[in-house]
Amino acid sequence: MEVKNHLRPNKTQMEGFFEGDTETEITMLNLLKFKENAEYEDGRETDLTGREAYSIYGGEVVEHLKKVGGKSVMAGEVSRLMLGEVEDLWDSIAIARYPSRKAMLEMMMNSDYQESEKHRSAGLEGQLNIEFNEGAL
Amino acid sequence: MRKYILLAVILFIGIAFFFFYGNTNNNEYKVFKNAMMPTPVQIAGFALGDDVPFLAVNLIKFKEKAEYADGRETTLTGEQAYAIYADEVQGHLAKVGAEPILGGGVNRLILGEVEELWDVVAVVRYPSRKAMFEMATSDEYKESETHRVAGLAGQLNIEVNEDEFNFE
Repeated sequence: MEVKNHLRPNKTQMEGFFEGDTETEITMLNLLKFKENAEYEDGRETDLTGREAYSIYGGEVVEHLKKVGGKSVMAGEVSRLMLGEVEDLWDSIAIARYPSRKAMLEMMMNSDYQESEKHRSAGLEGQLNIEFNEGAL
Repeated sequence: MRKYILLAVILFIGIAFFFFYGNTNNNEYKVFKNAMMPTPVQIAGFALGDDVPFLAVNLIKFKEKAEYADGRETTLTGEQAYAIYADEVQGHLAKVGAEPILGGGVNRLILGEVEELWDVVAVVRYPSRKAMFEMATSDEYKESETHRVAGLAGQLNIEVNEDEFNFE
């Protein structure tokens, strides 16, 4: 099996925000892989590691989430794989809850969010983001 | 009204530009493999490290139809057989002080590509590696596990050290 981390959604994934149930609560599992050294798209000099740049985003995104009724649920460092094999194991995971697809899109379109997002793209090599609907366990 | 429509169109073009042309990712395809049972190295890992709580993030793929190892006839789907396990495992988790945190059916991938998307995400918090190992090797658990093996095509299970971070 193959897997590929990305930094941005593709066209189909963007269109998905307007399709299906756009009003129901969704939960996002982020599997994150950091760059070794941060690289800002505007070319600014930086001594930050990828992880450090991303953590600036991680701190700021909490507020952006709140504004659209979302919430950071949990986050942590990947220590190992207990089952399965992954060629390039992710560094961190983060789980966030949004009231709807619409709300998530609203957050992403916000200019304050896009300002914070500069730190995300500086620090992040790529990720998977899995959308799921929480149910009874 | 027209003003708002125009604003929405401009916003959308901006976003489209941001996402499609701002895409500088140079990631490559990497190989991964779901598994049913841990490797010897993964089992040995339970004896190592600190005795601290952790999260187990399970990415689960079901078989289409359940297949029991003892060859018994069944009309269950993989998902249905796994659901029997998922129900019974609650008790096994509680016995070692572990708890299911959240989980649910996967809808779609918003970022990245996976050759075969998982069906379910489930996150469990264990008090320690020792506790998880104790559960996984108990006789009652192994009885329930026959349903897991019957229903599961394979999975990843990622061990995560939860950040002590206040999200409120």
